[in-house]
Amino acid sequence: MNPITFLKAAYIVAWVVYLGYPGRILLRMGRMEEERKDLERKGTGSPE
Amino acid sequence: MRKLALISIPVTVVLLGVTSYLALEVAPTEQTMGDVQRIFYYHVPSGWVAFLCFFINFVASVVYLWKRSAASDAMAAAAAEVGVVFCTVLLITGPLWARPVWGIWWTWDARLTTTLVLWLIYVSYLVLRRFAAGGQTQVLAAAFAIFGFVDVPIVYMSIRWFRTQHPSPVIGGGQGSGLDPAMARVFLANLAAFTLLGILFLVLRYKLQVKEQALELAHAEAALKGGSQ
Amino acid sequence: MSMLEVTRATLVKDLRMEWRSRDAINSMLFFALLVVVIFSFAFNPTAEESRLIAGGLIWVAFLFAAVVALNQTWARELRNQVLDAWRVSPAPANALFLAKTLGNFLFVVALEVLMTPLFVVFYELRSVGPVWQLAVVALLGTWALVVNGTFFAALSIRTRSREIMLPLILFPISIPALLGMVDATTSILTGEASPDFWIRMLAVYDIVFTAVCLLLFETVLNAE
Repeated sequence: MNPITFLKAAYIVAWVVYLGYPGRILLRMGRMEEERKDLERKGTGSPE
Repeated sequence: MRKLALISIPVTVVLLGVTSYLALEVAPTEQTMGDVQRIFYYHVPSGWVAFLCFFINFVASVVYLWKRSAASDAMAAAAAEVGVVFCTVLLITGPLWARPVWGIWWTWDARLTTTLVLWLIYVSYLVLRRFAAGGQTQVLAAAFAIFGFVDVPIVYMSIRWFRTQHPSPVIGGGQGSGLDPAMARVFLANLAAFTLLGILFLVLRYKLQVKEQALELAHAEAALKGGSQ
Repeated sequence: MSMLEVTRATLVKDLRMEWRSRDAINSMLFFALLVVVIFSFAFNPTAEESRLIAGGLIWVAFLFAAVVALNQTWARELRNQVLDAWRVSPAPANALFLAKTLGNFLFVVALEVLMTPLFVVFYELRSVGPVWQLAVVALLGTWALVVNGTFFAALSIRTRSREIMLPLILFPISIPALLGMVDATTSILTGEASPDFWIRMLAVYDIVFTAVCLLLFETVLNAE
């Protein structure tokens, strides 16, 4: 295999990780925001 | 905070783009290894950021055991995860570099083995955090983090001795050995860019952890309120 | 009561309880025998080859036996809420830790003493280097495994899947000690190198991690 293939593979792997990881964090943050809002709604909405 | 994010993210991305271009096009081609050597500009800075993160994890863990602040625990968790991410890239780019240049994917040489052991230690830290039950997680994890970091110099020394006793092919050569000044400049630029990226990841992951802590608290409160009805 | 007295008392109590039931001892002995036999099937070397690989084989076998012993370190305490009693008692927590560690140490050393003749027989082992050095390596190495193992066993009882958690968190940290034990044993058996560095490294490992364990055990005991 051409050595340049390895170079490209290395850079691709690096970029996939370095873009994917913060992406995953941001997704989880979004989900948590929703969950928190859900909880708040349930907390104030339910009859006391 | 928002403003800082709006500035820092594009800056980091642009910086990374520029330094990658430098690494791939501008830096001179290495004599013996050829263009594949350019992996070095990603490989080594990843390693540096990983070790920096592990150090931050250690400090945060000590601070947590001392002050018991949620912030230090959040930073410890964030630093470990970000460190493992960079260490994983290190462990993947390493063999991808080694295979075309030295013909083997892996060798149990001192540097690679130490990196693998470090990765194992901090992955086990993350597993411990995941599997620990509720309120004790922070203390257990912080205690374990201290063990892990104290082990680092011992791991390094013992593997190095083992390899002087049983020599095997060394991969990568000296890091700074005879680095052409043009290469050194590109290397430092990439180092700076990666450090910035690491800090960005750290801040992001820290904020996520803080949110998670708040959410857990909210769940607990909701359960209490629900129970009192 | 002083720390030493509490440690001794706890240790004696544990040993006495073990001796009375002999549950754990018997099952571990049998497990150790099984490990040796299975390894003999897996690796069937000639006499010269065996000296090269015996170091690694023996220590992997001892490691498995040690983990089985370590996993039940705190089981009795958990069942009877003994840990809560320790938390409120004025007795120093480190006495409990030392007693448990010493108990485990004696236990694993006993296992090693029983397994070694089996290995010698099955692998026709003859040591080129001095045997007393093997003993030193074994003692230092066992302490290295047991001191961290006892501490991590205390960590892992507060986790889900606690039996798998212990080896999972113990093994990576123990790698330098394992490396030292295996290479020192091989060096002594083959007589080809001096184990001095490893003996010193194991001693450093033992001192450093015993200190860390003693510093942190009380914190972990009180974590709730």
